[in-house]
Amino acid sequence: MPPRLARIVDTRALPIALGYLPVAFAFGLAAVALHAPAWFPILLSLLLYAGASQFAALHLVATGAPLVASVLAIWLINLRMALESLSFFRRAGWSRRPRALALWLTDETFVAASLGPAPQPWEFLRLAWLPYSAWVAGTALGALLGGILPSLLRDAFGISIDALFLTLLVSTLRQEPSAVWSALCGAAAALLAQPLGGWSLLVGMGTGAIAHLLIAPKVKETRP
Amino acid sequence: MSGARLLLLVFGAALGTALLRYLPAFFADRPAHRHLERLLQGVPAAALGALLVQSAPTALPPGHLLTTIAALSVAIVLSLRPGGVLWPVAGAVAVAAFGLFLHLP
Repeated sequence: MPPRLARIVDTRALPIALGYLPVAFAFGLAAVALHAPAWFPILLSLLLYAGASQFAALHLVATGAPLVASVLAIWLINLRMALESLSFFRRAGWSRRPRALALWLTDETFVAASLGPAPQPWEFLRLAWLPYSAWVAGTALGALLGGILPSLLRDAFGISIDALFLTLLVSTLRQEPSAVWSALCGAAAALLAQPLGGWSLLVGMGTGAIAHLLIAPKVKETRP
Repeated sequence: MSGARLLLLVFGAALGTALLRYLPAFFADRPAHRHLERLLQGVPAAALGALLVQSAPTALPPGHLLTTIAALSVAIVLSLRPGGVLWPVAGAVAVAAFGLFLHLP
């Protein structure tokens, strides 16, 4: 990446943004297909910025769920963000004002920002602005101009976030081998909790964190 | 749902989610028990594992399991080399596009 560009964009932001684009595009497209006005998905992406719960919102609107129940369901789906925020800010140790950047904390930016040295606010900004822009732009494109992107490209970009996760996992395990227990237990619990739908991620995160509490320190202590 | 109800849904959902993201940041300074500290340190790797399990099987359209495995394997192999995340991700996307183009399983 050219040094000028690297000053304003973190390289880890590119795969996240590339992964967000097709999903956001599909979200905008799906909303319009459900006869929602085009402003609805765009406003959701601008203000909510949480993929799984946005798709859930579409489902709730389509099935005619009551308003209060829909809002509560979305909060419950996003409950994991409180855990992510607490974990991130304990490590980051920022002053009060930049903590407003928490509004750009997603599963992907949280994972990318939490592995490696704790980021300063401007470093987090370098990581977070591009995925947010891609999410909003992708939604707007899907809602307003659906169908212009070749489906092959849309589908192929779907792999980019998982490739990023794997890359981050490999680099984390090389630096801190004991993290394998959190990752494995988190993955296994999320897999077993699949029938719980949106809760499976929270279950996976909680189980992996407990595994870290119980196993990882012992592994560290027994190391020569 | 009418336009006004959709608007209420958007603002209600966004406000609650913003609080979920924002409020814990103000509890982050308080001294915590060392067990809670360790628990929170385990969250990023746990989230990584859980997210991978949840999203990897649906990363590509159904019926492309081998292409998915090949693309992610390329990402792992390239991530063993030093040099950031860009090449592993680009390699995985290229393999995925190639597999989808050739209609590989």
